[in-house]
Amino acid sequence: MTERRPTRGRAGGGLGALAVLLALAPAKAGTPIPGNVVINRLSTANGIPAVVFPHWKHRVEFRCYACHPDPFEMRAGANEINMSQLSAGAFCGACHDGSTAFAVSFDTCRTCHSNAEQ
Amino acid sequence: MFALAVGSMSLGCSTETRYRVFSVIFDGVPPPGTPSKPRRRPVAVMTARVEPPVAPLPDLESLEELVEEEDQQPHYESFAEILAVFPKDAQGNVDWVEAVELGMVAPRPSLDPEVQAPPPFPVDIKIDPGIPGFEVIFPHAAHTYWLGCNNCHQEIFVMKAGANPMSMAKIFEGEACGRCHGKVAFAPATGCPRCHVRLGGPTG
Repeated sequence: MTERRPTRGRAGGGLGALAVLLALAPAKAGTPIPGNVVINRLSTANGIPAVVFPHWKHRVEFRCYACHPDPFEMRAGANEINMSQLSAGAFCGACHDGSTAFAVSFDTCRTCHSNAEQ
Repeated sequence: MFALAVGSMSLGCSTETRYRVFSVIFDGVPPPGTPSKPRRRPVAVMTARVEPPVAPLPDLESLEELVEEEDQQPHYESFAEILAVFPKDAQGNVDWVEAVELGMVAPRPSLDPEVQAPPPFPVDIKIDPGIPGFEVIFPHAAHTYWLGCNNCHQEIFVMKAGANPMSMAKIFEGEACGRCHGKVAFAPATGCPRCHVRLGGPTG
């Protein structure tokens, strides 16, 4: 990786205001983790808690392009996912098959259908 | 004086004499010929987790492969541990680019283990917003580690300098860079100097 990382170790003297600004906006405990995407095309309409997809948990194992744009198009609502497709090995089911990752089953519903607000 | 006498007896006398004298002075002296008890050694306290026995060791070649695989895939006990130990950005979120540079994470390019990651595309693009000090340097290398060209081109960004009118307002609304930044990547609101490099210092 040769990309530039300009933020570290180069705090300029005239940028105290910026430093103060950043210091005033520290990470709050319990701040939602970026990339937690709520998927709710069908769930709540069928009385089931919506899915929270944690991008960052998946990012540890895979780069973005492992899943984007195929099989997941990068736009909310663009992927018509349903449970039958997952069971058939499409979308999440490509990994969540019980060997690569935990299986999609009636034992694991709440792992994904985990939106606490519902 | 007494101690000296006992000491000299214990060194200078025969075993029989030593037993007779010692058994008068002390209780529980073992008669001569009794095998001495093994001395109790201090027991080390186990703090490390004992791993269960594993399958027989594979041959050297597959072991090397295993080690190589292990090197590529650091393991963590939980996602909470990752959030705790990974380097952080100004907002306190994980700095994934630095985590990759430090070798703390090695995400795979594909579910297919045969697929090799293409080399990063090492071209920095300068974007001049027309405000002195706010010049942007877009590092392709940091992005192409994670993303394929087709994730951004040509739908989000046309591959022609000046062909992509951008503004921070649009980015905050989730357009252009905001398609990822502020959603799955560091937020534009707190990550200013990571893009507007001169805000990070005079040499940025």
